[in-house]
Amino acid sequence: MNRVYTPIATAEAKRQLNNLFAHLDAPKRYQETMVALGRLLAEEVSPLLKSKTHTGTLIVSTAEDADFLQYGVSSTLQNQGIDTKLAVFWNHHYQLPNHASVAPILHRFIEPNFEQMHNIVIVKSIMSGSCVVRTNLIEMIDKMEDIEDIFILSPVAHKDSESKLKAEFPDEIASKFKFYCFALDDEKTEQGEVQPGIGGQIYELLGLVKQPALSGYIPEVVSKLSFQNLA
Amino acid sequence: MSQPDKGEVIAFVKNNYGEKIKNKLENVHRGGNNNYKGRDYENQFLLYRVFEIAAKYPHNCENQIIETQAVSFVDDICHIDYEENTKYNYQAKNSSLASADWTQETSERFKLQREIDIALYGISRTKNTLLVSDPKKDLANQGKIPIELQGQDTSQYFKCHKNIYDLLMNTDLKQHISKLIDDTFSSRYDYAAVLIHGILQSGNYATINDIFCQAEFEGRPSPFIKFRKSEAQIPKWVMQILTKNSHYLSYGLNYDVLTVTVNQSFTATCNINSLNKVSSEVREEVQSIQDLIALFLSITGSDIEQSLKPSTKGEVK
Repeated sequence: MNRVYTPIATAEAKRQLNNLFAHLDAPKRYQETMVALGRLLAEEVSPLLKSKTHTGTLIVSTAEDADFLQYGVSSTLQNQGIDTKLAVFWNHHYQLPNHASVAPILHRFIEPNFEQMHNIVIVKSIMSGSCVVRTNLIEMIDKMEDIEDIFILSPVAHKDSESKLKAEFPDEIASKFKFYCFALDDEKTEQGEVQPGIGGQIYELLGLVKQPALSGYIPEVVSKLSFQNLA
Repeated sequence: MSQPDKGEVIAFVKNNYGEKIKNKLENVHRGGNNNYKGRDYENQFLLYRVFEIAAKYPHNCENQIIETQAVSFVDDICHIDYEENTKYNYQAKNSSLASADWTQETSERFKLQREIDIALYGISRTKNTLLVSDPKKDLANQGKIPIELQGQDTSQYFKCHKNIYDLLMNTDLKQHISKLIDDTFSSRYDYAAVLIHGILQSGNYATINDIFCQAEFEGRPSPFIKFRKSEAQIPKWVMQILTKNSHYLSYGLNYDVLTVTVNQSFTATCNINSLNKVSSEVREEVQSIQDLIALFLSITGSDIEQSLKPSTKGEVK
């Protein structure tokens, strides 16, 4: 079981990654650590985004990451003056009998005018295969005419996840991918869970019990943006 | 509609064409099974062809037989359309080399296959296709088709795509899928293709109908709503909430799926039959659009969890 830290893994990033393992039984602390990791990842990409002519960025997240890793990323980018829109997806992640992973979207939240954004930032607490990221990206790229860069932000990834994701897209899209993670792990369980990864299944660790697609969980950020003016 | 088995085909060929041709047939079959290089290309075309057929017959696919690596002189993909009494046979060549050339042997195999199809499958018409991934080869092949085969057999160009997404975006596969799913989610087309691709790998099917029945059983959810029937209406208590908030939302009932979009941003779906089964206690607690959307998510989640429980319903024998 080997872990390789990437060049962007600062001492603080390594400390926060270790914090994940320290808070496996403390969902609140685990959530806070994910927010902190989101902030650190956003600090890495914000100089690049700020240097662009078009800084507008669509942030794409799963429902489970929306209030934590995603919040850390979006709040940091917004503090840096970067205009962001949000897309959140409820994926049902499961395996077909031929062992192919699929993650169909059951429900979605997408902020209006997202089409005007020129960059995509996909946040994912762990990159194992490429299934969820692939699905959510396919959902968005068709609808955005002028995408300059696609950033994929994940605290920890499996060493092959980048090449797997690239293989799933035509070269003209794959060439826009920019991967940012702090650690690369080289082992997976039979169920596809990266080892040591983020310490287990993200749903339980965040205190969500199971996949939001199955539990009906609605992230706070989505509730606020969707329902605050309604009867 | 019963299909001859492997033994019947081999016996027929031995009795009618002799030992030498029978051995040739067995070699063709053996070669096909070992051709891993061409398998990905065949699978791409198979996926495309399955959707093409399903889109043509969305309400009756039981008379559409599909088979791969049959004991046949044109063996990569065979499709029998019993509605039109026609058998389509494809020999796929993912190559720019001589193996993709239309040769005298191609013509001989195509002729033999036509005779076997008429004698053993009881169909009146056979159309054989040499499927090639190189457009130049296709062009050259068109000029090599003997006059007596023209109009029945052909060469066809079908690109070998890098992946399923590429196949979806650069062929009319998406249009075929759109006739089956009635969905605006872009990723839903991809999911439909990946799901059927997975089912085709299992090989546990005979008809196009079997494939989509299995998708209905394996898909969580199944995107192929047009294969389902539903006459359920939106319940009155739900309509009241929807109309009360009509300035902020849009909704639609397609087959058995109710979709609601709030503030042009949050789109949630729910099975209408499950929504109609909600207890009066739960109904009373749902007062606002927020409550209703939360109920949609909860019902959809519980429907999927229910479908994950072991069952033999929908299993294809």
